[in-house]
Formats: sequence, structure tokens, C-alpha cells
Amino acid sequence: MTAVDLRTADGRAYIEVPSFAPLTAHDPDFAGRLAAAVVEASDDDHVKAIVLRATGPDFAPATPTGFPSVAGTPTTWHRAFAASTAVYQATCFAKKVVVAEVRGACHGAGSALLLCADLAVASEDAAFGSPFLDVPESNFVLAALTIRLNRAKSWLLRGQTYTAADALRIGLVNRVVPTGRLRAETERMTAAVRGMPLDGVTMSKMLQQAVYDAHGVGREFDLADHYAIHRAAVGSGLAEERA
Amino acid sequence: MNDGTVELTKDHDRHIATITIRRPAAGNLMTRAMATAFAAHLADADEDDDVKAVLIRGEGDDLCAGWDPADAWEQYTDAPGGAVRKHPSQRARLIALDDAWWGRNGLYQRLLHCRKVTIVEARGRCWDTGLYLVLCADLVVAAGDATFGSPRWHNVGVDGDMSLLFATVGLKRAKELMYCNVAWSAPTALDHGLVDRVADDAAQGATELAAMCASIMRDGIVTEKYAVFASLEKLGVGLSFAATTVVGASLSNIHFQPGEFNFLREVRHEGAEAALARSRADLEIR
Repeated sequence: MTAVDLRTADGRAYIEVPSFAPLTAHDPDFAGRLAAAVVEASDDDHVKAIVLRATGPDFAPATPTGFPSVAGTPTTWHRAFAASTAVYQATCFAKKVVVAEVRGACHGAGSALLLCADLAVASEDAAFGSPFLDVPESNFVLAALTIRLNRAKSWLLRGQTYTAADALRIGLVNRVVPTGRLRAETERMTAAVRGMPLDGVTMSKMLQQAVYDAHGVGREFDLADHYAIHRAAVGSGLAEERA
Repeated sequence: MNDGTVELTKDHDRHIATITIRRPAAGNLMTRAMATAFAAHLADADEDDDVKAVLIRGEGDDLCAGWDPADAWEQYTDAPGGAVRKHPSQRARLIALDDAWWGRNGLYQRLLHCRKVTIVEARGRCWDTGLYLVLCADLVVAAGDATFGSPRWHNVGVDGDMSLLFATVGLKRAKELMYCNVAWSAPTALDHGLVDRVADDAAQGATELAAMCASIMRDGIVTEKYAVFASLEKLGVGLSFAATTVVGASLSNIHFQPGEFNFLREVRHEGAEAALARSRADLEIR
């Protein structure tokens, strides 16, 4: 069982895992514990910023996906990955400011999670793969709002990997620093969040959610089940063709 | 400090109206009265068929360094239901924010829905209200010394519209302004798409751009502007402005936790000028 560690200090919550790859593998237990940690941090009155951090060398290395069956999508898979209480929406609609601290490889669910975070700090060696191939619950509206529609379409269709410098240039991350300075930069960024009043942070995030709704972010999450079923169906169809 | 004016001049030969914010000693901090005058001037220019472009500028070093907090409380007490008790009612706060700023006759809606081409000459501090003038206008020419941000958000929370900001600069960059106590330099604002041009002489650059826009046929300008209005509706800007009014009213009576900088108390005890100076001391220009 992959560890999900939550600790709080100085107005920040740190959610640390070896890597976020189990999300790409669609491990429901990992996703559930990660969502619970986000919700707990979000509800903690002593927390203004939540840091998502991998303790290993990569934020989310590429890993085989564990797709559900068509029948399992609306039940087990939905609860763990697509429901309003699941990890992505818990992160996207958290009441506190969520910061992704990314180093090394960031593929699949790592990039999906990055899109849900409010802010991102990356190391110079970070590389950002497209989330859309392996993670049907990825939110395309968030991608379009973040890196703009033309780039989001290209990421969806071509599946290219962005370097850290590219990610900074297109607005996918806020800061790129040498690996040795990654944690210090995260501390600096979250220190600014700590300087805001708690009520101000929470109300700002509530306003942000209303604007997200207007842009269709929630509706895109609602379509995740359909994308997953489609993916499962296409997969089995390919298998039949090969047979 | 309530000594500001907003002036309208019109050059019908060149088809350009100029709106100038005049409160240079206070960085052109905007009051409710100034916002109301500004909106009335926009309506005037909008109705004038001999005006094709509206140039917006500030006298002195800054376009607009923000919303005058000394005036903020009075606008609530002066609104209907605002003087009933010691503290203004919630309805008074909503009405005040809607009437002067975010509602259909407020400054930002008037600017956003102006049927003429609106051009901002951005110099010095373009903060809080100044940032929203930049966001709501069609085109922006910035001087090299211009900075863009909303330090007010760090003190009380984000009480401005987010949809325009998201649409203009992208989500994560918008959130840097919202949560990181950061203002952008002119080159950064250009890189992020917040401004259209950085010029050595912003006044000349904005005037030339206004002249170019004023050379476009009237029907063409108004037709394109209505296409923009339709897109703004699709982006949900109207909903976002309404939500901003609600959240802005809520943020006007937030509770501060022990150890947090209480901007509203600082304004009451130390005065608006001192409170603004202290609250902006740690603002980072990137």
C-alpha cells in the first residue's frame, strides 16, 4: 500500500507520497486516501495552503494504466476518480490554495492533478506529459483555461511532453528553479498565501469555484465517466479486432 | 484625500474622447464619486456618434494606484439601508458595490460594454481599480515603468472579477496575482498577454493607437464590439461580476484571525494612507 502522509506546519499542509503514479494506475485505495488527505487539509482552520509533493525523484513517472471494465466504470471507478468527492474535484474545489511541487517526470495523473492545483513550482528537470491519453478524468476545460485552447488541443491530440522551460512559457507552471531550490521556492510562494486572512483565502476560493462553474469546469468533470467508458469500449474493440 | 476628479475631453475632428483621472498626489486612487463620474463620461462618449475611440489615462506618474479605502466605508453607509445601524447592512454593501463598480451602471460594466474602442495608457501603478481598467479596456499601451496587480487581494481576499483575468492571462498566472502578493512589470505583463504593447513613450503610443482605431468606419467598430459582448456573455463574465458583488460585500466584513494583518482596523486607526503603505510594503514586482 502506497503511503499518503499528511502533516501541517505554519499554516501549510504537506501531502507527501513517494509518487503520484498510483493515480495513473487507477489504484482506488490510493486515490481514496489522497482525496481524504486533501479534504482534511482543506477543512483545517490552521491551513491556508496545501502542498502536493512527491518524495521520490519523480512527481508521477509513466506507468501502465489500470482501466476499469465498462461495467465497473459507473461504480468503483466513479467513486474513486470521477465523483465530486473524488481526488480531482477535492483538489480542484479545495477551500485552500493548492500548490503542486513538481520535480522529474510528471505524466498521466500527475499532469491531471497539476491542472487541478492553483499554483505550481517545478524543478528544471521536470517534464510534463499529456494527461489525456491515460487519464480520462483529466479536465480539458482546466487545460484550455491554463495553457489556452490551441495548446490544450495540441496536448490532447499529439500528446507531446513539455519541458519545464516550455511549461513556464505557456503558463502551465508559475516558477521553475534548480532542483535544490524547489522546496525553498514552495515555502516562499506559500508564505505569501499565509499572509492573507483565512476568511479571505476561503471566500476567494469560493468565488473561484463560481467562476469555474461558469466556464464549465464542473460539467467537464461530469463527463469523465463517459470518457472512461468510451476508452474501455475502444480498448476492448481493438482487442477484438486483433483477435 | 477626497479631492480627485475625472475629466472628459472630446476631439471631434479626430474622433477621440480622452478620459483623464486627476488625483496625481494620491496616485489617482479612485473614489466612488470618481468612479461615478468616470462611468458617466463613458456613457457620454458612448452616445456621441462623432467619437470612435476612448483614450483613458491618469495625470501624473500612475494610471490608478487602487481604490481609496477611506472612501470605501462611506459608500456603504451612504447606500440605502447603510446608516440604519452602527455597521452598514449587507444590502447596503451589495447596492454600493453594484451601483458604483460591478453592476450594469458601474464603472467596470460601462467600460467593458463601451461601444467605442477603449485604449488605456498604462503608466506607473496600475493596481486594484487600475488593474480592472486594464482588463476591461480593449487595448493597452504600457510604459516601461508600469506595474500591474491587486495588492488589496492580499489584505482582504480576492474581491474582483476572475473570469476576465482567467480569460486574459490564463489560470495559473491569474492565481499568481490573486494569491502570491505579486505585481507584474510591464515586460511580464506583455509576455502574459495583459498588455498589447510596451512603449518608450506610452502617451504617444496610446495616442497613435487611438488615431489608428479612429480611422476605422463607425459601423465596423460597433459591429465588432457587439461580437465581443456576445463572447463575454459566453465566457460568463456577467455571472462572474454578480458573484464578485456578493463576495466583495462578504469580504467587507470578514473576521481576522489572531496574528493576521487586519487591514480594515488599520484603516480605521491609522488612516487610509498609512494602512495602504503598510499593506503594500511586501508586494513583489516580478
